[in-house]
Order: sequence, then structure tokens, then C-alpha cells
Amino acid sequence: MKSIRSDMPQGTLDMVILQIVAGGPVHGYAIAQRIRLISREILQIQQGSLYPALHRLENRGFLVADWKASETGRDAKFYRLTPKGRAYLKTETLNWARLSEAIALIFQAAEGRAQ
Amino acid sequence: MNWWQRLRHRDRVERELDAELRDHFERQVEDNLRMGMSQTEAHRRARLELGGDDQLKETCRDARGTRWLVDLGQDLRFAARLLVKDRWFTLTAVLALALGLGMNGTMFTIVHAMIRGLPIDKPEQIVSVHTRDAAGRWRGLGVSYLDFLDYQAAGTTFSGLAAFSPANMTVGDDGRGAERAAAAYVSANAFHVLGISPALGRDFVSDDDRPGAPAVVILGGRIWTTRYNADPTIVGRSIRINGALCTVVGVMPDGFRFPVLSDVWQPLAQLAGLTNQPRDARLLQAFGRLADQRTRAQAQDEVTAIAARLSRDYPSTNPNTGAVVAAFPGSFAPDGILIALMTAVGLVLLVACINVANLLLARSVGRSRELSIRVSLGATRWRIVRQMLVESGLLALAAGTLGSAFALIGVWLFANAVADIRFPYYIQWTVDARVGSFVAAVCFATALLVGLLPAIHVSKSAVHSTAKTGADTATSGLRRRRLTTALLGTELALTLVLLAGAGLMMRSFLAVLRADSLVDTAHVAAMLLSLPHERYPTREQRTAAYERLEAQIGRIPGVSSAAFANVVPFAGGPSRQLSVEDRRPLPGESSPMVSYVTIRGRYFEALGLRLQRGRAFVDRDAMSGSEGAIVNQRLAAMFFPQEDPVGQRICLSVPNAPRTTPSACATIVGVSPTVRQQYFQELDPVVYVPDRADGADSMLIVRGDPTPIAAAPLIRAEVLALDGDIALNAILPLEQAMTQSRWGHRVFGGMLTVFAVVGVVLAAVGLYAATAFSVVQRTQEIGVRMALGAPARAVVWLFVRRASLPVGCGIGVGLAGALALGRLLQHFLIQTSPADPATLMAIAALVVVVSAAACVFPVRRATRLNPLAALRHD
Repeated sequence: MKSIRSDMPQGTLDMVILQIVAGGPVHGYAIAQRIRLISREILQIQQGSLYPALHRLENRGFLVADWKASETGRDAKFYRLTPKGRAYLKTETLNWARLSEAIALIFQAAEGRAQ
Repeated sequence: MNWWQRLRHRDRVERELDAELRDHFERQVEDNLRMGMSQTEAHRRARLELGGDDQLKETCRDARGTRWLVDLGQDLRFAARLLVKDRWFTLTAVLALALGLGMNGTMFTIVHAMIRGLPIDKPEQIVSVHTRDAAGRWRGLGVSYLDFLDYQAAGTTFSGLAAFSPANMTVGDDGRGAERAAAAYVSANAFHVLGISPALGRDFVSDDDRPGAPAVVILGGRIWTTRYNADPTIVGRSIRINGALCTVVGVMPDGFRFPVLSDVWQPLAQLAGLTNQPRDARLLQAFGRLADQRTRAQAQDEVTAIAARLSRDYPSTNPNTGAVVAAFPGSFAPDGILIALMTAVGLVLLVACINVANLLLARSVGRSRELSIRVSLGATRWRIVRQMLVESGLLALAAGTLGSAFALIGVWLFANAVADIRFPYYIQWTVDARVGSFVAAVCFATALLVGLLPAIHVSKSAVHSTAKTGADTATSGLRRRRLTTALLGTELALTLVLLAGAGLMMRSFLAVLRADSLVDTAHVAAMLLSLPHERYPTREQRTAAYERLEAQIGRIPGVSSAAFANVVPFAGGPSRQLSVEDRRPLPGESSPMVSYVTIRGRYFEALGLRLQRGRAFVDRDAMSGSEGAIVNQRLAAMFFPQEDPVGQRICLSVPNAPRTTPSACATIVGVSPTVRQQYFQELDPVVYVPDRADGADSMLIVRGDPTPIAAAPLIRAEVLALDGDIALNAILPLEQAMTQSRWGHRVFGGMLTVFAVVGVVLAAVGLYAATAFSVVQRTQEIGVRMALGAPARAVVWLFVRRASLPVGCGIGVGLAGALALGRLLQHFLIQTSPADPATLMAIAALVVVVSAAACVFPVRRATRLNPLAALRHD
């Protein structure tokens, strides 16, 4: 499958990032890597979208960041989810689930007719 | 980190962003190496992945949300540097705007003081209640005592309804001279309704207001301090009010002088004969406080209903009468003049704004290269507009600061100019928070007004033109020239309106001055004199006293004549409705009002006037059956344009009086020159009748050589020799009364003139600057023309022709505006038409001359340039 190079809608990108960060403090590079790995290379987030998104989410109070020593021994900026971010993620996930369910229904119905 | 911390630690945030991106980059390189790439390849791929480093950082900065603030800081620094660099431009612009803002601040303070209302809690709840007749006339008509009681009993929209009647009272004590004070009779609840309690003692209670109640009085803070040395034991003591013993029950707080400038108050019960007055003697002024949650409209509905019931129940006294609920107190100065003055200062500010906008526009030409470069480097149009707005905002801020100082000076000057005018106590020329916020709001609007137009123009041309040319491109130059022409035209039109207003006021003022110069005021003075009522209860006794005083004072060396009148010239006085006997008024025509002066002795001689026709009064004229009257020239011209006024019969009736009161008729025996009593209207018709010693107060008018002021102690001694209890006020030169009465035109006319002069100077400077700028722009062209042999005249004509468009349009539009302003001023114009052609022509001519001068000077300088030098210019 061809990879989607990070031109997904802003809200979706935010949700994906929050979901990754929800797993524990993580730095920017790792976020990009994990998204790529978990999505089986379908989603490839470029720095040009990732960092503005991280800063925006930090600005809105969904993420906080601090500088900590990383596994390589170098200091890296680790992002954590705030309670506000967790709540936001929850509602967004629910919305997303309902939306995809609705879209799936529509396509099922269309397929049914086509048959 | 919140946004404030991010803003404060901007450098740290930047460093962290750098570090974060570097970290990412290095991890990418490490991963690439791990995948087996060579060192160079790993770096290349990582960098490729990263994209434009600076672009990414910019996006991150935008995401931070503090971007605009950081940019604003940059804009501010840049603008400040520019303004400091263009010192002269900045100084001119700030000064022009500060003048405009200062005038607006001053004017707003004055208007605000006049309409602010009473200095009490929730003043907006206080309203007045007037009677209105069937035809809807006499909006200012008072309320009769009986009607008042009915309104009070039936009204539910008011938390309290009170009434008052202004009066003068003589305050006396045993063992020293009495003094006359402005006073008021008030209903017992009046102070309670206002929400003001006495500073000492108690308020009036309803028992004080019953007929036959023991006489009580409340003193004002001023008289308590000056006459009783602020003695706290005054409460409970007896003093004499109008000669009658009376107990002081309270002292009001200092500064409280309700309704206008009163120092003494008594309950309505002490107003003799009030309770017996018929229902159509509408002499009380009623005011009330609206109950919470009630509106003026609800109160109006209610009093209308009550008035309708009264008019049904008492058809003889209240035929079809209605009631009006109005703001209380009403505006002190007539609305028209305040609106005219506010408009005028608004126009001055507008002229200043246009000037500065024009200067900015002219300056923008020099900056087009800078702006083009910024646009090519990616500055958005909004960013450029904002940069210009920040500049004009800084200008406006500086101007606002300076303008506030100007406003304070202006208020101080105005307060000094009107220091001797007796304004109601609640009118204080203070600058308060509301004035401050007004100036701030106007300042903000000014910044927008000044900045927006040039900003939009500049950003447009900056986007279109390219960086390669620094000078005006053809299209943007044309657009700018059109804009300048429009702005200059507007400026000149506004100036013309200002000048017209000032000119009309000046002409009126001169007309009054000319009319007033008829009276030889230099040798005349007057003093208020009151006979104590208990000693002179009858008319005969008062007449005898006046006659003796007149004779005695007339004999004092230095006094050439003495007379008495109810009021001195120029100082207002009562009015009467006049009708000509046997001449039916046309249907729908109401009898005109004339001023009413009662005189005794050689009144006209004392004023240095000679009767134009007929004769002075003789004893017979004061007797019933052979009443005589003297009318002034203006009255004669109004009522008897064709006939000889002498010998005609006229009838005078008191306005607002019960219709049962017969009107007094008299035969005209003489015609005097026109001396006005009133102000703020056309020179008024006056009727003089012989004084019949009806009241205790009289103005003693004395003529002396060189001036009666020197004889004042002798006059005082003579009066006190007759009776030590006669209250005698300070001697007042007639000149002073005359000047004071003209304060409206003097002060307001003066202000309009100042506004107009500032407007003209600003407009002239604006036109000068615009022409000078276009001369500089076209120096090369001038050089070419002159090198090819064009005479200087032709070059001058080139520019004059261009300026003639805004000047011509400006004058045309301005004249229309002047007519509108003239209508607004109509009530203040005396013997001057609102569309006075002479004034308007003179002003249009003035504008043309000033414009021509402002235009020709810079051009003449250019034509004297050496053509060779001009050609090399720029």
C-alpha cells in the first residue's frame, strides 16, 4: 500500500500524536517512528508537520514537555499527556469511532445496492 | 510554560527548538547509519527528510501563539525609530493631532458638566413633571399645589414625588444687618427624594409641611459658615427669615445648593397663600425619583392618566391639560450651541487627522522601495498595513498624552472665562474618568482614521510596484494624487464650515455689542435692596420708603440720578404675554412674550437714554383707570409697524397664571430706545410700567460722575439711616451685568473662533505641505519646462490649476455644510441670518486667499531654482 505522507487533516494528526504520547513520555523523533511502525509505514509524518503540531498541542495545554536524559544518554525533549489532553483524546477518539462507523455504514449500504 | 512565560523567555524557547530539531536530525542520522548507509548518504537523507529548516522553525513559532505579540514588539521598535528619525514630521503630526484631541477633551468636559445632572445617587432616576396645555404648548409650565397633591397621592411609578419653588429670603438676626439669600421652598420630602441628608440636625418632616406648623428653616453650608461661623449650636436656635422668627432644624452639607444656588430652605407650608391657590396657578416645580425597575415611559403613562382624570374632574381649571415627564435638571445651556460646539471640535480633529493622513501619504512615497522589498521578502499585506497602523497608533498615543494636557489647560481657561457666571451648583468643570475614557476612545479612532487610509494605499502600491523603482509609479502616483485631492477638498470644506460658524457667532456678538452700546453703562451701578416685610407691610409704606430713598440718594454728591426697577437692563427679568386691545389674535396665534420691567423715578435718565417719542411717566400713569406704559422701539416695530404706538392700548397677562386673573391694560405714553433684558435670542421687546411697590425687593439704579461706585458707602449710609434693617447687597457696576449677560456669545463664540482659526491654520499647512511635496516630486519637470522657456507664471499656473479642484469642491461642499451649521446656531444668532450672505462670501474669499497663499509660496520657490540644478534633482 502506498504511504500517506502526512497530509492528513490537522485534527486527525493531533489525535494520532496524542494517542502515541498517551503511552508514556516520548520525544519527537520516537513519535514519528512509532506512527510509521504502528501504521505499517502507511502514515509518514514529516518534521514539518510534526513539530508545529507538537508545539500547537503544547500551546493548547494538551501536552507538557521537559528535557530529560534519553536512552542514548543525550538530553531530549519528552512530551507527556496532561489530564486536559487525556480528556480531549477521549472525546476525539469517541467522535472518530462514531464517524468511521457512520462512514462504514454508508459504504456497506452502497455495496449492498451495487450487488 | 504558559504564553506569558514563552514570551518572556523567548531566547530559551528558541534555543530549545534548535536543540529539539538537532536531536531529531541526529537520531535520524544514527538510524540511517544503522541501516547501512554511508556517513555522507546518512546526512544527506536526514537533511532531505528535515526539509527547509527555517521554514519549519517559522511554522513552530506561529504554532506558539505569541507570534503576533513578538511581531508587534518589532513593529513598535521600528515605528519608534522611524518617528524619531523624521523628527519634524512627527512633531507636526503630534502637535496637530494633540490640538484636535485637546479641544475635544475640553469640549467634552464642558458638555459633560452641563448634562451630567445632579451629584447624587442614581441621578438618572430623577425626573421632572410639568403641565402641558391642550395645544401641547408651554412645556415648561409648572404644577399647581392642588395638582401636585393629586399626583403625589396617585403616582405609583415614583418612589417619591417632591416640589419646590425658588425664592429670595432675607436672613436676619437680632442685633446685626440682614442679608438676602437665594432660597427655595421645598416639600418636606424633597431632600429625601434626592437622597441627601443634612450634615447637622434633621431633615424636614411632614409635620413641618402642614398649614399652621411652626416655622422651621434649614441652612446651607455656605451661609452657615459665612454668617454663623460654622457654629454647631445653631440647630435649635431662632433666626429671622423674611422678618419672621423661625427655628433652625438643620444644616445641609457644604456644596449642596439645590435647586440652583440656594442657601436657605423652608417647607412649602411657609410659602404664604400657597394652599389657597387655585388649581391653575401652576407655580411649583415638581420632581420625583422613579421607583426601581420603573422607566420614564411608565411614569409618563401614569401621569398622563392622572392628568386626564384631573382634566375630567376639574374642567374649568384643567381643560385638556396634560403632563410631561422630562429629565431633571434639563441641560443648562441650550442644546443647539453644545451640539454646534461638539461638531466644531469634531471638525477640527477631522481636519487634523486629514492633515496627518496626507503627510503620511506623502511620506509613503519615500518609503515605497522599503515596502516593496519587504513584500518581495514575503511580508503579507496585513503585516504592512499593521506596520503603518502601529506607526499612526504611536503618533496618536503621543498626541493623546499631549492632548490630555491641552484639554486640562482648555478646561482651566474655560473655567476662568466663566468664573463670574452663576452656574447651578451641580455644574462643575471637573475632568473625571468618563472624560478620560472619551479622550482615549477618540484617540483610538484617530489612530485608525489617520493610519488606515495611507496604510491601505501604501500596501496596495507596495504589492503592485516592484522593488526596482523607488519613485512613484504612474498608477500609484495617480491614485495617491486623487486621494490627496479628496482629502484636501474635505479639509477645506470642514474649515469653511468652522469659519462660517465662528463668523455668524461673531456677527451676532457684534450686533449685541452695537445694541448694548446705546446704554452708557460706565456711569451706572445697581444694588439690590429689600425692605423688611414686617416693617413695610403695605404698598403705601413701601412707596413712601422708596420715594424718600430716591430723593435722599439723588442728593448725594457725585450721584446725578437715582431710580428703582424690578430688574436691571441685560439681567433678564419676568415676561408677560402681550396683546393689543381690540385687536383679535389670529386663530392659532399665541400672544407673544415681552419682557416686563417696573420702574420708578428717572430710570431712563439714569441709563443715559432719551425717549424717542412721547413722555416719561407721571404720577397719573401709576393710578388705576389711567395706567400708562412705555414700550421700546423693538416692541413698537413688532406690534405697530404702521401706526403711531403712542396712545395705543396694550394688555399684559402673566403666563402660567390662573385664567381668572384679569390682564392689566395700559395706554402707551412713550417709546424708548431698544435696550434688551434677555439674552440668547433676538433683541427683545420690552414694556416698562410704573412701579407699584408690589414686592419687598427692588434694584436701586444710580448714575454718577465719574462713577457711582465711589459714592457707594454714602449710599449705604443713607439707606441704613432710613432703616437699619433694610437688606442691601453689594454694588454692581452695570457694565458687569452687561458683560456677564453676554457670556454665551463671548465664551462660546470665542471658542468657535479659536476652533476655526486652528482649523484654518491646519488646512493651510496641509495645502502647503501637499503643494510643496508635489513641487519636489516635479522639480525635474519644472526644470525641463523652464529650460525650454516656460515663463515662471505658467509654472505657477500649473500648480494653481491643480489646487483649484480641491479648493473649488471644498468651498462648494463647505458652503452647504455652513448652511446646516447656521440652522443649528439659529437660536443664538442675533440680527444675523443663518445664511448671512456677507459672512459666507467673506469666509469663502478668506479660504480662497489662504489657499492661494499656501499654494503659491512653495511653487514660487521652485521657479526660482536654477533650471540646471532642477534637472539634476534626484
